[in-house]
Amino acid sequence: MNDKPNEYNLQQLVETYKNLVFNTALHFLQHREEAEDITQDVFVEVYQSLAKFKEQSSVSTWIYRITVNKCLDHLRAKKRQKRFGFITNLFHPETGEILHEISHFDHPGIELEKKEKARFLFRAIEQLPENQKTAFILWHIEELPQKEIAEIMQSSVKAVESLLQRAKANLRKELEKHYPERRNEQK
Amino acid sequence: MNKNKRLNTKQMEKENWINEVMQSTKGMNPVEASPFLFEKIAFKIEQKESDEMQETSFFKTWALAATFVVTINIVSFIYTQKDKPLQQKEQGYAALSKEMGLTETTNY
Repeated sequence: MNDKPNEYNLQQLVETYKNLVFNTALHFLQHREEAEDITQDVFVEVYQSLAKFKEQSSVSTWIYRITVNKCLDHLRAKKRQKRFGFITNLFHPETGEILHEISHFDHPGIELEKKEKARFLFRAIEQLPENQKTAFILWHIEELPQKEIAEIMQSSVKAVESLLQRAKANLRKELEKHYPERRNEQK
Repeated sequence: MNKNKRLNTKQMEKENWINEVMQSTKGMNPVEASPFLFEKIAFKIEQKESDEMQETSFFKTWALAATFVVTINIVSFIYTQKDKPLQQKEQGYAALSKEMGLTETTNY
């Protein structure tokens, strides 16, 4: 890689890491268009901070870190927006019907027979606290080693281990709540 | 006894379902990002840089205007300070002559 950021090495970086960034964003945001937007923002930041990159970690770890931070920022902003517009969003502006915003994310890369179950999993992941969500997505879905997750999250392997344990326990609790829904859907 | 067995089976069914849900993302295929991603990123970078340039020139204009105003203020302050001792002296003499009952005369 050249020392100075330019279009040539940015293009190389985009080609190498675009799917990694896009898929990670998709797992966090559970929305295709938002994931595409965040992917673009991640590479804009990569371009702007390429000169500052000191190679203390690998390029992929560095890009993962930027992606995770961008996704969490986006989710926080979305949450703030939701809270602000809570009352207005309760009812449909035209029909006056009560609106329920339940995540129905269908991951395009999941086999058809697993799609329904994956939908429950993504809905449960959405309920996890930020740190647990990050650790779980990077470990369980991205299948990264715990050492790399610790580097991305700038914490220790032990802390990641404990986050994963708590995340799994919380997910099981959340899924238990949804178990009757699954039975109703099967009837 | 039968009731316990039925409860255990239900519990096991639930556990199995949760385990299957937890494993449902295993073996999934990665999703391809947009083929025009680089072009979109390049456009965003260009836009951001031109926005930043506009912002900088806006601030430069304001800084220049503010400096000009401050300079004029300083210069006018210096001029007023220069005239002040003479004015103060004249005011002092006038007060003193009034107090002492002297009339102002001018000798040619």
